[in-house]
This record gives sequence, C-alpha cells and structure tokens, in this order.
Amino acid sequence: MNELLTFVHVGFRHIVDVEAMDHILFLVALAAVYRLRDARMALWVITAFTVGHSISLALAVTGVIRFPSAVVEFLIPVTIVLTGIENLVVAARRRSSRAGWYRPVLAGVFGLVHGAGFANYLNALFVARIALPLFGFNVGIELGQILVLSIAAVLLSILDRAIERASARQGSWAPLQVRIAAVSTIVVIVASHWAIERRPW
Amino acid sequence: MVARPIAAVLLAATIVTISIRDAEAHPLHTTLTEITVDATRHTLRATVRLFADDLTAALLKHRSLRGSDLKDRAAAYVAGNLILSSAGRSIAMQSCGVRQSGDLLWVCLETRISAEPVQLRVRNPLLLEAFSDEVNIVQIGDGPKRRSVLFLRGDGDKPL
Repeated sequence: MNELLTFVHVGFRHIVDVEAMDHILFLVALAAVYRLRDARMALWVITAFTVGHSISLALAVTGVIRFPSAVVEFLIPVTIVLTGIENLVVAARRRSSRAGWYRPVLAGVFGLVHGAGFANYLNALFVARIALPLFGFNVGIELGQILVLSIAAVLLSILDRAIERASARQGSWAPLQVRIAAVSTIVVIVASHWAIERRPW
Repeated sequence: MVARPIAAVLLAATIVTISIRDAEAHPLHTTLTEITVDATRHTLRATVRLFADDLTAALLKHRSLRGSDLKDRAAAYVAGNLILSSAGRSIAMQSCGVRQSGDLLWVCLETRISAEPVQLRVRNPLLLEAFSDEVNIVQIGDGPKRRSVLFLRGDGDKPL
C-alpha cells in the first residue's frame, strides 16, 4: 500500500470507528435537519466541516498554533450541544433567507475545534514530513463522514416513516419537525453529559 | 398526548448516554514504525513511535513488564511484540535506545545483517491488547519507494 492510501485508511477508520462517538454524534446532529432531497446541502455542510477540520490540523502540525488538549476536548461536545440547540431553535429553517449559507459556516467553525482534537497526535507522530499524511488523513475523514452521513440518512428516513405512521393516528404532527426535535434533544442530552465530564475546571 | 413521545426521547437519550462507556475524547490510537536497512553499516533498524499513555495502558496487561522505568519496559515490550522475519527466519532485534519527546516515546531496535534481507515480513500487534481501534503503521523505504503496511486487530504477519 502506498503512503497516501495508508493515511486515507487511517483517517477513514478514525471517523467510522464506534469509539468515535463524538464525531459521529456531531454528524448526526448536522444531518438531523435534512431529508434525502437535501443531500447536496448536507454534503456542503460536512465538506465545510472537513475544511475547518483541515485548517486547524494544518495550523497545529506546522506549529503555528498549539491547542491545549483539555480545552479542546471540552469544546468538542460543546459544539455538538450548540448544533443540537440550533436545530431546535431554528424551526422555520426553510423559510429563512440565510438557510443556504450559515450552516456550512457553522460547521466549518466547529470543524476547527474538532480538528484541533487530534492535531497534537498527528503532530507528534509525523514530525518530519506531515504534508502527505495530513492530506491522506483528511481525505479519509471526508470519505468516512460521507459514509456516516449516508447511514444516518437511511436511519432518519426510517424514523420519518415511523413518525408519519404515528402522526397519521395523532393527526397534528409535522414529521420533519418531530424528527428534528427528537434527534436533537437526544444529541443535546448526550453531548451535555460529555461536556460536563470533560470540563477542564 | 405529547407525554409518550417526550418519554421516548428521554429514554433513548438515557440509553445512548449509558451505553457509551465513558465520555473520554476520541484520540488516535496509532503507532508508527519505520524500518531502515543500512547496507554500509550492515544493520537493520526499526524505530517505533508510540504514545507514553497508550503504552502505559498496554503494559498494565503484562505482569512481567511491571517496574519503574518506562523506557526499559517500552524497549522490552516492543522487542517482544514487533516481530520481523526474513526468508522464514525470525530476526532477533536488540534495543538501540529509547528516548521520550513530550508524550511520545521513540523505541529503537536494531540487528546486524550480513546481506540485504529477502522476503521480509513483519507482525505488529503493538497496543492492540489495550485498544480495539489501534492502527499500527509500518513503513520501509524512502521517498516514492516508501511502502506502508497497516496492522489492525486480528492481523498476522505481512510482507513488507
């Protein structure tokens, strides 16, 4: 296997591994507001996350910035909580004139935090030659995110069907709003628990 | 009317929170091994980079490697687990030093060789006893000739 493929593999595994629950939960929080027909927008959002992620990795591994691990580890669940809250608060998302651009910006900014989470690890391991490992790692991360997002889309569609069936009986539920509320509430509760556990003080 | 869905959401959140073992951050569990063959000095050297905290977690599972000096234990652990062979014969490696730089340990193993090794194979289960997501990277060669082999849980030896 050549060196580039090696690091694509490492980045991919880093995201799809079950241990990576913080990244997976963040992706689920981002995906929770989209339907299959919004796939292009969802892809923009996770690509923005990867760009933010790559920028902080590049800054850290080139020694421009050194991120304090304890603070970064605390901020990662905080970004998940904020994404969940944003999902809950912005109810009239599709009518918002800013709906097309601010979520990718938000994902990009939060990506900066997530990238910092393992920048120190990559920096320590690949002191002499970082460009190729970094590039391959980020490509792997993006591919892993697309896979996680695809699985999330299927599961959210199944959830939508269940909500539609239930709403047919109840009569008054808006299925997408119920899905956003349910998934985002779970995300906020779980990530809040992590944030409390990881608080640096 | 709305009590049941709210209860379902809270129940799901509780199950997810409990089922995740801990709230630790998600680090990279990775080691990097570089193998170099120096034909002029007739040596084969393996330099292994691994994180001290990861190694400490793995050493807890080895009674025979308990002691005070982390560097000595690192050398013994790596020498006992990183297995190289050439043409079907295992290569005995000796420690050529351990140094620590921040959180990272550099473990050097070396052996003298009479000729360029052929059919070189490697087995690298380092830290897999401690971390299911461990990825061990082994590299040989320089520049465009550099080759990499990945070792994950369950892998045996592989050709380099």
